[in-house]
Amino acid sequence: MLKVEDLAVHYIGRKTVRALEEVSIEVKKGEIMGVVGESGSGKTTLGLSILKLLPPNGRIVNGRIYLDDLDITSMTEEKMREIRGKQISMVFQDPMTSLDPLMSIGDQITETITTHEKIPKREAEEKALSLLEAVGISGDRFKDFPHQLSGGMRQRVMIAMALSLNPKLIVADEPTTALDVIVQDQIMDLFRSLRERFGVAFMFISHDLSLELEVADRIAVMYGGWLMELSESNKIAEDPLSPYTKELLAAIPNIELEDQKLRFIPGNPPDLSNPPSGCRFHPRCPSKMDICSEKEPPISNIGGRVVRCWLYGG
Amino acid sequence: MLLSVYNLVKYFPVARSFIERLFGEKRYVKAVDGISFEIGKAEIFSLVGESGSGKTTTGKLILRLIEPTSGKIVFDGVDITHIRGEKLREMRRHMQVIYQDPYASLNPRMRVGDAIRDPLEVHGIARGEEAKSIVLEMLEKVGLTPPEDFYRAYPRSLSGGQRQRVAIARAMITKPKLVVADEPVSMIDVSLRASILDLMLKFRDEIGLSYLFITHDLAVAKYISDRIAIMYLGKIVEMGDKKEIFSNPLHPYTKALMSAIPVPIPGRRRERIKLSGEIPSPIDVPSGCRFHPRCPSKMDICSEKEPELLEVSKGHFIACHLLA
Repeated sequence: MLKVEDLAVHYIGRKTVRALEEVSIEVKKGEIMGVVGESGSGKTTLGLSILKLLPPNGRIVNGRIYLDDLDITSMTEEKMREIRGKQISMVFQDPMTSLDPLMSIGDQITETITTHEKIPKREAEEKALSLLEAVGISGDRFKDFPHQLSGGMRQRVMIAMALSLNPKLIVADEPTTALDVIVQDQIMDLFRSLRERFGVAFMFISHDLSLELEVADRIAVMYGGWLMELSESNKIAEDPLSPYTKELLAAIPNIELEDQKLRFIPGNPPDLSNPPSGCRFHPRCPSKMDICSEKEPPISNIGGRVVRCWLYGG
Repeated sequence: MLLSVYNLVKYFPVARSFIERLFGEKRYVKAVDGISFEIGKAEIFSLVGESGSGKTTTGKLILRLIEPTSGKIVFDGVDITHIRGEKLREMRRHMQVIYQDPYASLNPRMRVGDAIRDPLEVHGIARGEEAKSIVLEMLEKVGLTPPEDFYRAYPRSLSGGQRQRVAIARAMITKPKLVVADEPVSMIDVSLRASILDLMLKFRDEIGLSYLFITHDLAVAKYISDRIAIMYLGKIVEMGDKKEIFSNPLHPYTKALMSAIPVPIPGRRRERIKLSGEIPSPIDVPSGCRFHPRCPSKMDICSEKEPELLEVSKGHFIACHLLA
């Protein structure tokens, strides 16, 4: 359904930041596709590219993004406005920045519907009401303003709004990072139920690999603007291929383990205005070979799993 | 005991309009509402809770950055609840702090070396070349090498992980007895968190200091702590040794919190204890047990009487009518 092919995005400035390079990802209908990475991995840039919401200095310098058979990359801004909301919509970390503080939540959802669909206001209001109920907010809060809601409820409103034009895909960038763990768990249940009920697919972007492993069907692991590994969640957890994925898994505290020894990855994430030669992970990689600092590793396909590492290719 | 806290309370008055002030009764945010705990020498004690639980306010009270409404804080044998001036300054030498955001906690115009050196001079521990050599040694110890380069560097040229190492160096430079660490790894990339936690553990082992470790993350608390207290709406609901808390959690809130934490094993959806809603406002604290509106095991008594924090087995405390 969504196909990202060989995408590269640069931020142009005094120093050009090579934020995303050679990234290919597909999202299938009704799938929860996890995108996991640390700061500077390019995960947020990927989400913004799909909606063509990159900041003014962000350029797609290579690659294509297709939604079904439509090429989003070559689309005009006018056309793109038709796609946003109706085909793909987005949920951000901080719902307060996206909600209008002076308008009731019910009216905001209604307005989103009436500006895009030619239906009577009464009908749009009924739809808004049923959307609120679908995300677990009782109808008597229709006239509430955003400041009257808790953080978790505001995020539910954002999800209702994202759903209001029946999109095929919701890009959710760190949707629960500002929320407490119990509320996070509730929102994850909501994602699963919406997928069942509306068949909507999610691209779920997060820094939290544990959370992705619980929710996502497949996971793309990003590092330094590259896709390092992509496969089914259980394979990522049980038999990770990329040394970066392996190290990341060993760095996560697990409350089910006794006397766990945590590992960390020495060094720091790369400066993408001046990325390392060869593999972008090689300065921190425990399995580094000579070739890793000399040549960029190819993207290999091993039994349907994608991995970018010299251990598997060449 | 290095630190003993008795029945500590902090209420913040709620700002109101003129009319409300004339006719209404005074309203308060009950941020911390009567908590007691102790921290031993070289012990790591964690306060765990969601936002609004009062954990950060507790840290600020102990650091004496805000005044308690009531209660008592005894640090190293001295009642510090109301000390001022020179005595307070002397106490600060022995009680330091590490904050969550290493981008906000360092002065951008101050070189790293000067930032770490500052407490040495403020407390009259060392000056001049002597101070410099202590700072260089400390930079080496926190892994910022070569130390001469980092001494001259400005915070803007450092990564988040490196900045947090600077913050730790500055906290450790006076050889404190207690460090209050408020979410010290929450903003650090996952791949680097363990290095910061291990550094904190290393200082505990080397200079025998204690930590009050404040976090929302039970998994991090499990890694670093000796003992843990779980807070909810200004109260401690459960407290005990780490092993006991994780192998035998008793309070329904602790159980729910644990069951909501994602575990890095796919398809391993453990039995969830689902809670409805979110933490209520600390202005309108529910009657009786403040957790009762969300509690899956609620009984009649729970909305009427506030449960006391009782010791149910050695060192394991819980405030719940189920176990009374």
